[in-house]
Amino acid sequence: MGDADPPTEPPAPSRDLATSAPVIGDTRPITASSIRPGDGRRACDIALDGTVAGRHHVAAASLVGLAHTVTGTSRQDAYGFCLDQRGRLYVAVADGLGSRPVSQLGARILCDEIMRIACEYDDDSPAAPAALIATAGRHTAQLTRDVYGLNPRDAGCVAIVGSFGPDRYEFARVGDPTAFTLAEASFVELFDHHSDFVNLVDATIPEDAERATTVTMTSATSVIALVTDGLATDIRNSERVRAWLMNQWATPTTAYAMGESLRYRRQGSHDDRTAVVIWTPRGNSGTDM
Amino acid sequence: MPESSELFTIFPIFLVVDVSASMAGGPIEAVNRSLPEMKTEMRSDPTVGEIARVALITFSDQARTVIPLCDLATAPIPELPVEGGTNFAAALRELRTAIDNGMRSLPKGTPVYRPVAFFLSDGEHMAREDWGPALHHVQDHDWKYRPEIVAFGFGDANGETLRRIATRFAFLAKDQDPAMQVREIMNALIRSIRSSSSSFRDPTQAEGLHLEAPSEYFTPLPPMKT
Repeated sequence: MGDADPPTEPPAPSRDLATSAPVIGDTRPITASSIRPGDGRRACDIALDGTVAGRHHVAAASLVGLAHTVTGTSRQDAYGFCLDQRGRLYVAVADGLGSRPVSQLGARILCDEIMRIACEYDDDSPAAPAALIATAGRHTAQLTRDVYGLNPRDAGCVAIVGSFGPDRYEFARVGDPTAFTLAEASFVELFDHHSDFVNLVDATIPEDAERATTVTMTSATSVIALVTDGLATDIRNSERVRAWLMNQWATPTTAYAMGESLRYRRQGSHDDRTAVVIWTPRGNSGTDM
Repeated sequence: MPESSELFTIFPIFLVVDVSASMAGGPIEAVNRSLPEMKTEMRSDPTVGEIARVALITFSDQARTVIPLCDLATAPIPELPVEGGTNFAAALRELRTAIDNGMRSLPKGTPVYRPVAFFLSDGEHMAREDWGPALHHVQDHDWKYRPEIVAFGFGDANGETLRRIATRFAFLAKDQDPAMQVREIMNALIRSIRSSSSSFRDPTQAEGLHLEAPSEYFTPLPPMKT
């Protein structure tokens, strides 16, 4: 079979679904998305979930960013969630580093490894998220090198992991993914955020997988969202995004509704957006760094 | 809700362009052709235009901020004339002033990328004054807005000088034709704005700055430690 002739005319505009998501700021027209030749490790543009996981309702969405659709590169975020042998929920959200060539692979493997380890856990106490990141980080480096024949550094990523025990929630992260609680009509970020510049992170996986920062809290009535920085930046800096998400996440969502919640268009917001939202069943909260 | 409750991410870029007499003819014409192209890029690519804010500084015997930090898509682009000699001290002093003024003009709390300055020159410092203090002032690690400086040289530019000015990347253009050299520099600059706008957040890779200067057109020079 010979090479296909190149198309002589651009394809017709693709049909899309209507959305009520807001458009914020001075946004400019979006060009059609495309992929690059020879990219065999591309992740799908969108991943969605909306389901019950033990005592919790969990909805998740990961949407490719405009920065990737314009350049034909892959979504680099990934997420996973599972229940362990005693029905406790674990959530992982990872973000591949933009300048590393196969970081989407690292983010995906890391989430898969965290879930594989966590789902087999059967101790009285839930698995510690920091330990999950450290162990899965080592496995990710090993798999990247031994199975894929790639330099683990080329698959570098950052991540946050949460465990949801009956009385206590614990979160650990390496790099800039973060977690918010939604309570009393406001977002509260669980990790400290202070960075002079948006394009810097202070730790990455696998290099710093043993250096996770941990936050714990008692079980809460509030909604909890684990997010990558593409979304966190908008939550921190946009009142309209906060209002939109507060409304969208007021009650548990289906997978499609979760995807809709991240479809807003905002000036300068071009990174992948990923959120895993957990609607917790009971109790009041307090944080403890 | 008013838009003022919104803080949009900004990538501040400062172009520092040599307009000394040696730029006469092809090189300055290439610069003047490239600036409107950069403006078109700002309009057509949302990943560049929505984030990048650009200032233009020219220098010869003196330096001045021709375009303060702004959305280039809406700014009038003046025709740059050639002027007299070459004074790096004036250029670097004006760069620091333009960065201070530009960054302070942004709404409080605006999320920003580290500023990047692209320094283009075809020659050597010719003024009597020492340009070392001005360079030190713009590379000061205690300065909140200390930029990454990328130096592009062509024509009679000196590689060692470019290495001294650059904080991360320095390049010498290869082409024999100065006009073509300027053209390739401006193309590399536009590509670098695009890739740095979208390919960031890696602390080990030039603090978020991603340069796209193809080796067929440029000789990379290792920068000196600043």
